[in-house]
Amino acid sequence: MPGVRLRLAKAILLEHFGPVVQQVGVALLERGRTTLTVLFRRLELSQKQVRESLFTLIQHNVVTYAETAEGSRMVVYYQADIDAILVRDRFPLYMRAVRERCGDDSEKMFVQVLRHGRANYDLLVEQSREPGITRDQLSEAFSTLIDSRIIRECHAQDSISTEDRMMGEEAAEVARRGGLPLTATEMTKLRRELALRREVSYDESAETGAKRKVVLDLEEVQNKKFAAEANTTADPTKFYRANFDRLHILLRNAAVARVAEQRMNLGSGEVVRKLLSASEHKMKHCKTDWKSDPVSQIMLSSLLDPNIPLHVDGRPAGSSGTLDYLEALTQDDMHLVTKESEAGGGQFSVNLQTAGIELKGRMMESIVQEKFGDTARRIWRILLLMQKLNETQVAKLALCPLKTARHCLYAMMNAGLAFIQDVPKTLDHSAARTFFLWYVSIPKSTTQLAQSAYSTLGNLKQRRATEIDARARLIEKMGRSDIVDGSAQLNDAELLAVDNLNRVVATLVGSEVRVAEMVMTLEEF
Amino acid sequence: MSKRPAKAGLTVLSSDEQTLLAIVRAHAKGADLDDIKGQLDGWDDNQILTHMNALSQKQYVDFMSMGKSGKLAFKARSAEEATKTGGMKDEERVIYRLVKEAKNSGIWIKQLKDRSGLHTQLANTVIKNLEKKNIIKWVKPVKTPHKKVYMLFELEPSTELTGGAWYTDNEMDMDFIEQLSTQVYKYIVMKSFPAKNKDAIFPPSHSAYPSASDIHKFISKSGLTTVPLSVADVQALLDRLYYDGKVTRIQKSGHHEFDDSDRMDTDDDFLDEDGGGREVVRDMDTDIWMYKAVRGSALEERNAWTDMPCGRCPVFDFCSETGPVNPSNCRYFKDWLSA
Repeated sequence: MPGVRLRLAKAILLEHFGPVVQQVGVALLERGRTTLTVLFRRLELSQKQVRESLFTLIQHNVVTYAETAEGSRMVVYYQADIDAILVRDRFPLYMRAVRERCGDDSEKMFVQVLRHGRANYDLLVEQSREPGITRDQLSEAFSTLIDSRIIRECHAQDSISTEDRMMGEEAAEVARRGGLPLTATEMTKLRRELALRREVSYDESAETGAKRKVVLDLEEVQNKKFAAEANTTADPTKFYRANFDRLHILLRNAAVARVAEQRMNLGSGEVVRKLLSASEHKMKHCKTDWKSDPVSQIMLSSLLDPNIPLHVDGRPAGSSGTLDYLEALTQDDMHLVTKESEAGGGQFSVNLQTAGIELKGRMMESIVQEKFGDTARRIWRILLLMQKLNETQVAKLALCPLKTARHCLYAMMNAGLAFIQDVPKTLDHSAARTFFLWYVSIPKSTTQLAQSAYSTLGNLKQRRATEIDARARLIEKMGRSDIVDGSAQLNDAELLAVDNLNRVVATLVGSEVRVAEMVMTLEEF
Repeated sequence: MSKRPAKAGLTVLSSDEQTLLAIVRAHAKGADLDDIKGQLDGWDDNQILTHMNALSQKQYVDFMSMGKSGKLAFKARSAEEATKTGGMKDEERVIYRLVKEAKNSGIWIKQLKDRSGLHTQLANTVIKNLEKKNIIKWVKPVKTPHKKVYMLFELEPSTELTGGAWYTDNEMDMDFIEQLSTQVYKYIVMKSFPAKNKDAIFPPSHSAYPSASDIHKFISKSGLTTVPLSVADVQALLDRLYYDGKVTRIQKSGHHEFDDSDRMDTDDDFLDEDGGGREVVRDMDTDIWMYKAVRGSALEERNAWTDMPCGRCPVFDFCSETGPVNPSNCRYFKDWLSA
């Protein structure tokens, strides 16, 4: 399992940071938590190179460090975060999301944030400047990014890995209790308490923009203008970094709205979108948010885009169809929207957990269909809806011959999309006296598919490298000064080869982004 | 009460025997000794039994036990059957009786031989004889095609044996199912979205989505198929569409009134005579759901992974960075990229 992820991480490090930094990064990934001395010894690089590589990786939030007292001396441990590396493959998706949401200027600034890993306000403005864009526009773009929490301030503790932070907290707590070693039970209890404390303190700490605390209520945003001004005067010691958790929430919400749109119509997509955006500011993490906050039908009506009409049959144009749309979404067996209470003309919320599973389920369904055909897809859905069934039951429900059903089931099992549970009738576990029940499990298949997707990404990158290596001489020639300034030209065959190479690379990169999106759906939503 | 006399060519019955037979025939479910004595003055038990024995020998009457006490009773065979069995040998009769008892679900040849108590070879000849005379026939059950199952020649095999409407010649007729479900789906689509504005939705209270029996009615009326389908068959078809994700189902609120939105079917008479609907089940079980087409189920977003070679690669698990199969020399990649 780590194999495919490590391979991909290596490729990404090479692509983003070059061969020297890659070596350091890979050494840290393979070794785990390591000191500088060990790194010097392991790598055939100069000490300067190692130090500078580490600096780069820390700057890009890939490596974290912690100072630990070992006896009388302080030792610094470095640790690389593989997820922070793998997330880099999805930068194009994030950039697109930022552009769609906050506009071109914000995207430019966001690109600078990604390019520098961490940057202060002055640097961002400096780097994003282009003719035709005023400083005010950039400052506005910066405020938008901060307000939507797409970028956030760096904290000192960002450089410390989660593990180190937890270890520190534990040590402090043990010291507070008198410094005697704790028993295993006490330790477990302490860890649980600390986890709870972290959960509670979350709101006040990490997620904030600059000088304000996190806005958890819409009413508080009324003095947004004032807050924005406060942001632009940010001092140069404050550095900002991209907040990927936030971006995942935004992307997830957009995907959920798209599902509703596909399933019903444009109008219901808009209803779900606004239902989600009403409480978007309160969502913390895709994995932990259970459901969106209830929004009343009246409130929702005022949020909807008037350009997207909500047509309802038999209802005169102009009257509000919001309630009908909400009810229809509640009725739908996707169960995306739930009615929370009757207050205010009905309070509705979006079930985010179900939505996340639905997104993954839809992806698996389409994979099953593309790989194994319509019958297999039907069987997969039957198992999803009916839980555990034996072959005969599956064939009967799918209205297909037993042989076909069995064929599909085994094909899906090999691909990690269906599983068998055996229920022995007797103690001897004899196969003849055992029920073999088939089932599908979205969480189980998610892990499997994520692995396949990582390995596919690795394949794509490797192939891209191969294609480029094969044309190395051509690329070299293209970069020659006489070709660049136009005093010499490429011949026809070379021009054709350039076209071909461009097309091949574009295809590969395009696929990479799409597969990266698939990984995001599987891993983050 | 007078019955027609035994046909020419059959054993001739005496007048006493004919009287007795007439009485037994009058009791369709079988008559015991007391019933018969009540209708015949002056006959004693002995007389009745002698004549009954004679009738039985001539294949006009069966002996049976009635009720819990197992009281002796008599049952007349139909004239036709008497003709058929009249000329049979004893062993043929044994086989015939067993096959007849099995009715239209048939009896497996092995069971037939075992239960008859006849020698295998003899049983085989007898069965072959009866087959030749078109008295019994064998069918292949759809579930166990290797088993020969016997039943009376004139009987239609039960759906258990034939597999029901979806089977043609013991094979599941996938084309038929596919085409029928496409039609049903089209019908549901037609009913699922407002005709005036395709982009609108029906209000949630809308109750004119078709139910299983509506669709059953539609199929029988439309003449899509000559195969008689029951509501249960239609239900299976709808379930298939539901599992395909093409339709979704909505629970009916309360009882469904027939409103005039069911305009598809011109007459409201539910018991239609034409070929299709023999049995129309109108219970809540089948009609609890209304079916509604899902928009855009067909134009599912294409999947990134299966759009490229790796998602469909037969050697995906074997492929590695530096192995004999690797992305750098992959021919699937080559085909894909040169396309």
